[in-house]
Amino acid sequence: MRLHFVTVRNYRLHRECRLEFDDHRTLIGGPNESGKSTLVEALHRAFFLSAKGNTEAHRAMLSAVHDGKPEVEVEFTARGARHTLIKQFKGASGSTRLTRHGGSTWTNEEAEAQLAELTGTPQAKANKLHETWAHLWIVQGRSGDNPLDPAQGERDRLLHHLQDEGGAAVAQSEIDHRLAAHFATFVDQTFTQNGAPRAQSDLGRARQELDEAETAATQAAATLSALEQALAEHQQSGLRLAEAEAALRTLQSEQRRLEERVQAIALRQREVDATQRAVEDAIRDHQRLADAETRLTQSRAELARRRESLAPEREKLRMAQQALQGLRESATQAEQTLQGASEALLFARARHDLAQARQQAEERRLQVANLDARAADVQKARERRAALQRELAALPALDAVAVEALQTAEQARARAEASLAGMAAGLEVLASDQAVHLAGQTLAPGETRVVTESVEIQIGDGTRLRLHPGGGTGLADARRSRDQAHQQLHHQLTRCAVASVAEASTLLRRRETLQGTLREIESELRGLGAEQLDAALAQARQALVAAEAESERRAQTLTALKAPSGDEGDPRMAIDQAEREEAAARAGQEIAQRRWREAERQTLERAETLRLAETEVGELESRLRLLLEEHGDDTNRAQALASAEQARRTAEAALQERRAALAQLTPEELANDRQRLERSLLQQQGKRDDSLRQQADSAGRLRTDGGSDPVAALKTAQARLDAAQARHDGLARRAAAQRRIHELFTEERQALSDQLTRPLAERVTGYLQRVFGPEASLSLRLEDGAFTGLALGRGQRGATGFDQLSGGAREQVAAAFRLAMAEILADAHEGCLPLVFDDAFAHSDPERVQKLLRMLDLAANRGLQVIVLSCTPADYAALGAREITLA
Amino acid sequence: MVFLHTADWQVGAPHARVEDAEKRALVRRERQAVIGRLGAVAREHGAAFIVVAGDLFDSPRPDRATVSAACSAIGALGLPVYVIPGNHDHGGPDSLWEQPFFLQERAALAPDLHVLLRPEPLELEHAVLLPCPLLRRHEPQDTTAWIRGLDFANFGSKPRIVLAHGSVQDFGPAGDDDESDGASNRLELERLPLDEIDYLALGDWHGMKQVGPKAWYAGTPEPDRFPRNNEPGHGLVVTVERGSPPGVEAIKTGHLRWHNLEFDFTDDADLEQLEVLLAEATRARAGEDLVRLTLRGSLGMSARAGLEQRLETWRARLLRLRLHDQLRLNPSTGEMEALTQRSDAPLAARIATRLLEESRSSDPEVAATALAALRELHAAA
Repeated sequence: MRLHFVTVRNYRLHRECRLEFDDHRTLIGGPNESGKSTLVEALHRAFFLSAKGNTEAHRAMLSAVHDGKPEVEVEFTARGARHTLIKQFKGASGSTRLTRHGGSTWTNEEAEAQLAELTGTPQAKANKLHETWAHLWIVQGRSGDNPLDPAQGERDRLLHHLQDEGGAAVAQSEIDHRLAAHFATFVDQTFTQNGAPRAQSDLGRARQELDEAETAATQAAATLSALEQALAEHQQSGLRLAEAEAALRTLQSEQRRLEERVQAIALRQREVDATQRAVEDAIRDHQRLADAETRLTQSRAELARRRESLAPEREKLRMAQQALQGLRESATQAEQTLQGASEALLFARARHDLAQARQQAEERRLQVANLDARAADVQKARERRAALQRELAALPALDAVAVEALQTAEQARARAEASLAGMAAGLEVLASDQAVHLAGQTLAPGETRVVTESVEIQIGDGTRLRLHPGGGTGLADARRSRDQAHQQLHHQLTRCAVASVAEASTLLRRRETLQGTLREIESELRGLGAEQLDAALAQARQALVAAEAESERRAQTLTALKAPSGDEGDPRMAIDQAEREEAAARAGQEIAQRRWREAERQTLERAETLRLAETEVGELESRLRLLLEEHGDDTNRAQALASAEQARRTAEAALQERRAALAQLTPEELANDRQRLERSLLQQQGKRDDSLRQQADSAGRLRTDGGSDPVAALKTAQARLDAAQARHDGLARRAAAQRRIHELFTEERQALSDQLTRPLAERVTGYLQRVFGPEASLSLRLEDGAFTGLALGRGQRGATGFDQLSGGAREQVAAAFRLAMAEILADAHEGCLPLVFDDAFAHSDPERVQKLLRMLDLAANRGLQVIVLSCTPADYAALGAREITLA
Repeated sequence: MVFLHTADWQVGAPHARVEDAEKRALVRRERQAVIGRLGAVAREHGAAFIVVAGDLFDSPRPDRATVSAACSAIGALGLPVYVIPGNHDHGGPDSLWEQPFFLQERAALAPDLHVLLRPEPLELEHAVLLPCPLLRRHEPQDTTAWIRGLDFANFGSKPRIVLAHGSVQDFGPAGDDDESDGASNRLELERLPLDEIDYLALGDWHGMKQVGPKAWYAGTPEPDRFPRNNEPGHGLVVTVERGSPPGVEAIKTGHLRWHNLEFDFTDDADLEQLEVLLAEATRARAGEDLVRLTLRGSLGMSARAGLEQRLETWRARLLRLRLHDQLRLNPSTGEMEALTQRSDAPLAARIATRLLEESRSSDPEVAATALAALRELHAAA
């Protein structure tokens, strides 16, 4: 079917608009609101909306600005013939007129019917109007919609065509449907979504029954096994009980034997103890006697020894006494010698002392004289000093500084003078015939006068000269300076109380000399110790007096002493000798004394010792006597000793026997044996108690109440389990089989649908590759008779579902799909169907749009009539379409 | 003198494998009913007493109802009954034979029931019983050992009858399908002073069998399992004299029939043969037979479906059908073509082809599922 012309009158904004379509490519451009979409709508309504009617669609086409009812005239080719359709939408009086060129004309209902036949689409109900041919004519704003939705409407037609194309496809029959449904139903009833059996299905119930039977069988087995266990335990515990009781009996008799042994041991122990005591007594007795014997013997020996030693001792004493006497005499003599020596010494000392005192006094005298001399010197020096000081005081106080200052002042004055003089002019009168006066003074020829100030020189009466030495003021200044310096100097001289500087220097020198001399004198005084001198002198005088007194005293002492014989000699030497003699005498006396005392002591000691020894001997003798009395004479004693010895031996032998007897009973093992026995008893008792308990316990478990027979119960449970298993397995087998069939049906039907959809997908892919490149592909499925799963594949990147694509991509894919679909459907329309793209690529970028043009171009080449509406027709220039511009 | 030798009554056996509750009750009751028949046989032949050589009860702990019923039935016999414990109803601590309830019911309902729990001779008026009771399930020692050293002098001319329960050399009650026991209670009969003994009444082997000149197994009076080379369902009437070989007459006492059948399918048409086989075995009765059926060979799908149907009918008629199904499903060519070549369901045909493929898989699970699937498809289509 191909559109040729369309004229629209009184249709909304169009008063009258006529368009001529190109057979292949038409581009309708125009700005927004220029009525492009309205035209398309009008075309659509002309084909698919009944002329008579007053629906919303009818009302929508009414024009507000133009009078008259909407009218659409279309010229098109269908079924190999050209037709003209004129539809007037006048509400109830609307009319339709369809004319086949060179053929019949139909009006109204007939026309509508014929139209429907030509388009292959029945007239639409008002509410489904926009769905009609929605797959072919893309309305503004709907370009991104999933093209499968409108395709559903055409599905059967598509499938029909596709089946023809598919060629070797196997059709499905009714019976196939029925069978597929039958098995699908069964599977749905039997299994849940995840493939598990439904609890309510036969299989599910069989499964449950199986589970329960298993549980029951397990329980029955457990019960039976528990009983058997109890039986086994009962038997075992019985055995153990018997064992334990037998063991206990044995242990108890052993225990009795042990007790007996304990008794026996105690008895023997007592015997041993008694015997032990007897032995100890015997030993003691024997010992006692033996000791006594020993003591006796010892005493005797001792006594003898002592007696022997007495005699020599006595002799020694006698001799010592003799010696003592001698020593006493020596001592007395020595005493006397000493006496004499002491007296001599005393005298020598006194003489010496006197000599010394006299000497000292002499010394003191000299000292005093010395000091006196010195004092005189001091006095002289002092007087000299005083004189100098007076002289010094008389001189004006000048110091080097002052003198220097004077000198400086003098120099200054001299300088001032010099400079002044320098400035001075010397006026020399060489010759003059007139009287020359200089400052009133006459200056005779040959006189020179130094002039230091401006002076008037009068020469005669008529000539008066002023001389300015030094050029004016300088002279005045110099004079002033000189005067100042002179004054200064004078002032200073006055201050220093000198007449001149030279004098000042002289005075200063004099001062200095004086001062120097004074210093010398000072030091001399110091050297003489002037300060201390008086004191020293006084002291020395005192000492002299004392020394003289002392001397006197000693002289007196001497006279009181006895003078020894012999010459006196030097007092010093005399002393020494006297001392020596005295010392010797003393030493001698001491020795003698010491010896005598020592000897005395020793003698006394000896006497004492002797006395003691004699006493001891006496004691010993009496002790001996006692012992003999006590123990009898020698014979008796010997007897007693022998019998005591015998007794001891006997007792010891007896003890030995008893001990052996005790050891036989191994008392040291007793404690261990006891412990061992006790442990064993405990153990066996424990075993017995445990066994009793276990027996009672297992007996309890064995006792049944007779309500049920566990053996029978197990058999029953087992049989039930086997039956449930068999039933379940059978059902499971059937279910698996039916499921397999269902799977196979699903697979086969899917394969079938894939076969059908493949040509469509391939066709769309062909278009898409023009836009997306050679890697692009389209995938789509037919499921349960509906198209679904539209997706764009991008080679490596995988496939993206239509709804996940971007706006632009969606437009492009949708367009490709429509083109492909139209191609297929066009078969029934002599190979051509008109496709309208109203602003269908709003989201596609210009580059893509250019690629889209290729797609559209291809479609046109394949026979489709492509009509594009756009506000930017420039973008579509490359399509090479007939361009129509709406103003 | 004459007495009745029986054993292995297994009273109280649950017969749990009989699925239908009522049929199960019926089978169980038969175990008790046979006691009456034994009594009739005994009285008919003038037996002085009845000996039960072990396993009177099926369990060491039967419930009270069972105990009461058994005592009642035994009491109704009107003859003294001497029982030893077997391996199923063994003695030992707290065994049922010493429980107050059993003693009470015995005293009340079967005062002439004597349970011999000790291995010592029991002298009766006309015979001496030498019981060898089992005091536990597995007794490693020979329970007849005590007889070896016995002084028989006291017994005079009374016939000596040994009562024992266990297995003898050469064969034992090797476990039958339902109830394999493995209880090894060996009896070394050859070590006994056989000259002093006149009859050995044995129990444990459920089929009646002579195992020595004087030793017999009575077998169970009412069969309780599918037989395998034995003949259960008898009581033995024994005539015995001191020093003479015993005279033994086997009397049939069993009522329900337990069949062991096998069938091979070579052709689908063999289904009819199977029908015939079953019908013959059960002699067109319902409610009196138990059948163990082993099926081998292969069947097509329709035939298989047909078999299933028939088996349902048999299940209803029989007290129990124990099926060992070793049949292979072998869909016939025609059947397969019908599925794979059908034009009115091309999808199903394709699927059938695929399933046929899978049924030849080396993975047994996959193959089995595929075969089952083919059956389903065949059935649905």
